[in-house]
Amino acid sequence: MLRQLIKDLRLAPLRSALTGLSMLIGIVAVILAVLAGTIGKDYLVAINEQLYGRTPLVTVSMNSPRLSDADDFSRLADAIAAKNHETAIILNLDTDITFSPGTQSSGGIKGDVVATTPGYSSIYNLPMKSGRWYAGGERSTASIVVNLAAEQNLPKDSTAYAKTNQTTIATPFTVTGVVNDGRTDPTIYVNAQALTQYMRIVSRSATILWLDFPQLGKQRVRTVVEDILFDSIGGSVSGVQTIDNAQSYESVIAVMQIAFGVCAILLLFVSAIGIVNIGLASLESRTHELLVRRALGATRASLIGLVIGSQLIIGLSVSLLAVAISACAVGALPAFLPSYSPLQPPAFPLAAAIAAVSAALATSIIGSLVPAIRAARLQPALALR
Amino acid sequence: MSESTKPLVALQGVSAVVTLGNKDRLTTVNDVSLELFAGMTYSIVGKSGAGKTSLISIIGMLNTQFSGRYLYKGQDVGALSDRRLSFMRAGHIGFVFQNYSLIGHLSALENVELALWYGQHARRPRATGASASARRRRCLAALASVGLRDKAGELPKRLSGGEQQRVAIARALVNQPELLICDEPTGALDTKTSGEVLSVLRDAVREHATTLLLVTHDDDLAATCDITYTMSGGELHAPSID
Repeated sequence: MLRQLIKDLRLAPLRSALTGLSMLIGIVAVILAVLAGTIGKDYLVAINEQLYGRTPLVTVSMNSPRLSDADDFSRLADAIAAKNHETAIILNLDTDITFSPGTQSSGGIKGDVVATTPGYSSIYNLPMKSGRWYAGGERSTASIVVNLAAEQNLPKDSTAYAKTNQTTIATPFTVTGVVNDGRTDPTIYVNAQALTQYMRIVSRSATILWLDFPQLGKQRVRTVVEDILFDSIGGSVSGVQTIDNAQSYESVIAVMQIAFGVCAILLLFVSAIGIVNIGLASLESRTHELLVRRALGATRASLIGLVIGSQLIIGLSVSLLAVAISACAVGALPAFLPSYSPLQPPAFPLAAAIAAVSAALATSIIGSLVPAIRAARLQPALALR
Repeated sequence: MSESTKPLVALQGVSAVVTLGNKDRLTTVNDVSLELFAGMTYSIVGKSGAGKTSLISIIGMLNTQFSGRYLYKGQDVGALSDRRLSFMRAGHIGFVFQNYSLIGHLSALENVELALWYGQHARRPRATGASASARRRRCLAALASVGLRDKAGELPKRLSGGEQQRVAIARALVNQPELLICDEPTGALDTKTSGEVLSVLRDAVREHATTLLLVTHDDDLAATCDITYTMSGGELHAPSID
């Protein structure tokens, strides 16, 4: 039977090819439309996480006179990290620090200095262009990470010399990595624990970034931080804020996904109409052949099987081809993204592929059903006319 | 009546009426009674519109819209389902059409193979049938019997009219049918080719002891059969026996 179905495709190779092409375009278009929607959504989320941090994020503003002390700061950082691994502390520096490639203060880099704990990279989406983020175990290692805008002056593995307006001796820091933080201004991320250890700085306040998952709520987080401060270095919480700006772009994402979904459905619909049209046209041209088959002994069921089966073979072959093409396209995408893109290479949209292939096969059956039923109703006596 | 003298085909008062486009009703077969016996050759002659094709479509089980009785080997054809009729056609009856009616996208061999496949499926609907190689051997033998072994792989459009009709004969005979119905088998051929085709047909019928029912305009061709009927206005007239 399968051989007969395959032979049947030779009846009109161009028609079979056009049917296949129509179906191929439909399936690939659906997969790519869904993929484009997914990439758009992922891109928005990635950029948002790169600039504003992951959500839901609770920021706790705190004050303590002992933040500048290396041991006290480490005790606080350890206590916070023990409660939640996905936290970071950013010191609000009252001391101006400049980093320069050489020891001369005139060569200082104008830009931001972010003195933070290693957990900062788990709060923000910070893909590394090269090197690595400073790790938690490097508390005594004087290491910094620079962003792309600062890389030209402070390339990876180079030494940056830090000075304050109160010191004359520069403190060397090693550039351990270059990060894509989405900022256009030069920014230097310095290991806050090492900073307090090796430099005389003044900091009386800090911001704790607390990725609130599982969700405690800002009041509970505030209580936890207050308890930690009480048990460790003392101080107080001056404010708590919840940052959850996902809502601001969720509506954009929803509209975008609906638009892509509608495009995908329209493409599939146009493809389906083409298949039904080709199916009906093919019946007109092969009526006599089907009558001859009836005269030779084909049953109605076998004619229905023949008409639907040959369409299904096209549908199946094209579906496999379309999925392979789409998989190649998805697999090739990372080649077009820089390695430090905030956007992760998208996964193959399996659900969309399954839906598109199912729709294509359903279209094959539905599209050939009408011609098949009409073929089965042919009166075999007409074979002699 | 002994088994050997039972007719293969028995029509008893069979009539068929068609409704025309303008709602008029036309009697195409009018009260026909006929018996065909195994191994005999029959011809029906008549002008266009006489009802010949309508009658053979009933005998060939292509049309069951008739009144009266049709017994095939004693079995009431009018009571058979469409599926059963398909199996009967595939297993017991071979057709040779005027316009060859080969399937254009299949080779000569595949055309013959298709009929064999339907025939084997009719005999054993639930079985997968003979192996592909056995089927192929049998079809090649059928093509060889009509002198077209070397044209097995050709598509019909690459064959001459005579060759196409010989393929059609091979296709009709590959299941070794009890009844072979030929509708103007030489109607589209020149005289020389007609002679060749008829020779092939006669040899094949003789070899398999097949009952032949031949419909033709050609009185000379009809005269080569054992019994010739004439038809006009849907009525079948008394045979002339050679």
